Amino acid sequence: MRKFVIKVSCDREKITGALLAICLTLLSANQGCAIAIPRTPTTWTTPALPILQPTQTFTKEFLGTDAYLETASVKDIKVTDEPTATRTPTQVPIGTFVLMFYSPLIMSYDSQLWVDKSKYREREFMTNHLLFKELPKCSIGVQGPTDFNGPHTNETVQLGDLSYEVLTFPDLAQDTVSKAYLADLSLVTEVGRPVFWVSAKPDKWEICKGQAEIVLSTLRFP
Amino acid sequence: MTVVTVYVYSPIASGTITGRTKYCVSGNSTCTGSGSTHYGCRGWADRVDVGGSGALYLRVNYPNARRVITYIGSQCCPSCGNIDVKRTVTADIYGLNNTGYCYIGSVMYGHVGSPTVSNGQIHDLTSGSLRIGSAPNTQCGDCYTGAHSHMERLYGSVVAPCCWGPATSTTRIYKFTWDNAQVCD
Repeated sequence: MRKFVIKVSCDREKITGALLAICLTLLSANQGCAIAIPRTPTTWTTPALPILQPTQTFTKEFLGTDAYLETASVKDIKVTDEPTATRTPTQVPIGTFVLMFYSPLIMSYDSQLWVDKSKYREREFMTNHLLFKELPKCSIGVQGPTDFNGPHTNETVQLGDLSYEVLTFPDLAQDTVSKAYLADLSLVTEVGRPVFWVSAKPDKWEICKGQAEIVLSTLRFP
Repeated sequence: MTVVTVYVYSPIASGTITGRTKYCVSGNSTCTGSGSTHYGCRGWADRVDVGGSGALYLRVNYPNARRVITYIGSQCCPSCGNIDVKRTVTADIYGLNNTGYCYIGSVMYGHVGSPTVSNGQIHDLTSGSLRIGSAPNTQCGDCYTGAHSHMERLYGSVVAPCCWGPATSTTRIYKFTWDNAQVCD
């Protein structure tokens, strides 16, 4: 399912042309209109839409499929798949790490120690990680839903109020230590249990780990 | 000799590549991942995780692929109690020429919930998609952290997007070729 935004410009001069595909009801010549949108080609439903004034624009978010969007794309009704960038926070406060994949979870970080390297406007080939300023190879990165099938060891660590499962792997490169942190089960999102990677050079691991765990301890729903 | 190419596409219509031969770490991934090795369920090649929920489809470029035989297994997450998370569906893919059906290669899908195919079932394709089940929307320890499809291949090659790339119903994951001049069963 994708999220679309339908923008209906209710111009009284153009309403008639839209009747073939979408049930537009002109309530009054000068008082506006309402719209019914098909959820499937055969099932019609009327979302709670306000009465629109001529030339007024109404924006409503809903979940739909490509077929749904195509059905709704008719003459005189402007239907747009909202650009990803406008759905994503473009002004993330410094000190708040927004988890793009595990929305709406966030973390807090000390901006004097960490820099947020995330590209919040780009959903594809997502970049969503924190970098420790003094240790360029020290980072907290996101891992999407997956399976850890191979050899590893588990330990549970308590970070503040949160319990993390930490996985250690035998096969990582010699110049890097990386461990996977599986978040507290109370913070499972629609896409699953959040998983993060903390990585650093071996000789800086303990410093990086300590600082990263401070950040990880702040994981929460806003 | 005429080489025919068969592609297997993403089983999830709206997903994201979250694992290749290594795990995908946001901001620090090479194309095939930078975490530890992403091991498989059957030990086949080029493991790919497609993060996303909903229906799972075996998708191929029909009519280059004409027949699929499905096999149900329980080869993922052996320590997990959830049968859906453990379940695998292996699809043997066949082409067709004037001598019969020709085996091309196989794809294994891990973590298949509510399977809609059965063991040993022969599917003579009439289109490029075959529903095989759903991605379980659950977790199971560290072996299944959220809804996704795990894939492995036997024969062929991997052509999947790099880590964190989008995966739709037209996104190629594996590529197989076969010579349709060969004599088949």
